[in-house]
Amino acid sequence: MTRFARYVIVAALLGLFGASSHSVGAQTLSPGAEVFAVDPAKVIEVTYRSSKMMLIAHRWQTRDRFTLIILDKQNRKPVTCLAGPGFDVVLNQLTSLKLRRALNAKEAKELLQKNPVSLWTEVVVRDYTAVEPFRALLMPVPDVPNEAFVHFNGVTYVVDFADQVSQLISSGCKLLAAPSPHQE
Amino acid sequence: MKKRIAVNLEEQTVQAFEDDNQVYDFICVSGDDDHPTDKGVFNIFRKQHPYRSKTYNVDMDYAMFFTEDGKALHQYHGPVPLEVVRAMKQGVSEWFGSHGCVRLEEEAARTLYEWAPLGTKVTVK
Repeated sequence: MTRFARYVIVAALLGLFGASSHSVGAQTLSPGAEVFAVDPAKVIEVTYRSSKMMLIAHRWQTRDRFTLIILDKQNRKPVTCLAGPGFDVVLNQLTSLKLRRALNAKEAKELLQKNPVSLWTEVVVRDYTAVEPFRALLMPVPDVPNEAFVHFNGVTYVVDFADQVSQLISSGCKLLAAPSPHQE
Repeated sequence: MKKRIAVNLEEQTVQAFEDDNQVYDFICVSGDDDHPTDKGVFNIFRKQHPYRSKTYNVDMDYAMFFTEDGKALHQYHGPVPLEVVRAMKQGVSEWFGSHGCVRLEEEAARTLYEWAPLGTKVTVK
C-alpha cells in the first residue's frame, strides 16, 4: 500500500469518526488500586523536596545501596549517608501509592487554590529503564492520619500514605541511614 | 493463584489468566511494521494512571510497562474506534499499529490495570 493510499484511508476514517468524543480515561480506579507503582528493585533515584528540606537518594546501579543526601533549610551543610532499613520503608511507600479516592475537578481546583505548589512536596521517582520518571506533588491530608493528596498529570487523588514515612524523612540520616559498622 | 497476561499479535488479542483459567479476553492493537511489539516473556514492572508520555506527546492511561524501552499495555485514545483500527491493521496494512505498545479499549485497559499487580507475567507471541 502506498503512503498516499494510507493517508487517504486515515483521512476518511477521521472524517467518519473524528467528531466522536475522545476518551481520556474519564473513569476512575477503584479504592485500593495503585495509581502509581514501580518495582523498588529497579529504582535508581528518588527526590523528595519540601519547603523545609530535600532528600536525594541515588544509586548508579540497582545492586548498589542508595546514597542519601539531605539538605535542610536550617542547616546549610548537606548531610550524606548510606541508606538503611528506614529508607526501605520510605522507598516502599513512594513506589506504591494506593487509591483511597479521586477528587473531582471542583475539589481539586479548590485544593490547589488553597494550597499553592510551594506548599506541596515534590516527589520524583526514577527507575533505570527508558520510562519517564514519575513526578508528583504530595501533601498530607490535614487531620487525617495515614492519608495524603497526590497530584500528577492533572489528576488529584487521596492515597494511603503512612505518617511514619514523613517522620522518617524529616529525621534525615538519623533514621534513614544504615547502622554504622560498630553498631551492627 | 498465579496471574498472567498473553498477548497474541496475530489475533490482536489480550487474554488474562488466573492459573489455567481464562478470566478476560480483549481485543488490542499492537505495534506497526516499523515499531513491532517485542515478542517474549516479560513482567509488569511499573503501573501508572493517568500517564502521559512527554516523549511521544500522547496519553497512555492505565499504563502497565513491561519492557525496559517503555512498551506498555495501555488505553487507546484515538478518535477512530479501536476495533476499526484493529480491522485495518489485520485486513489492510500493518501500518495501522502503535509505536510498540499494546493498546486496549478504555474499559479493557482499566479492568486489566486493576486486575494485574506488579510482577504479572506478560507473554507476547
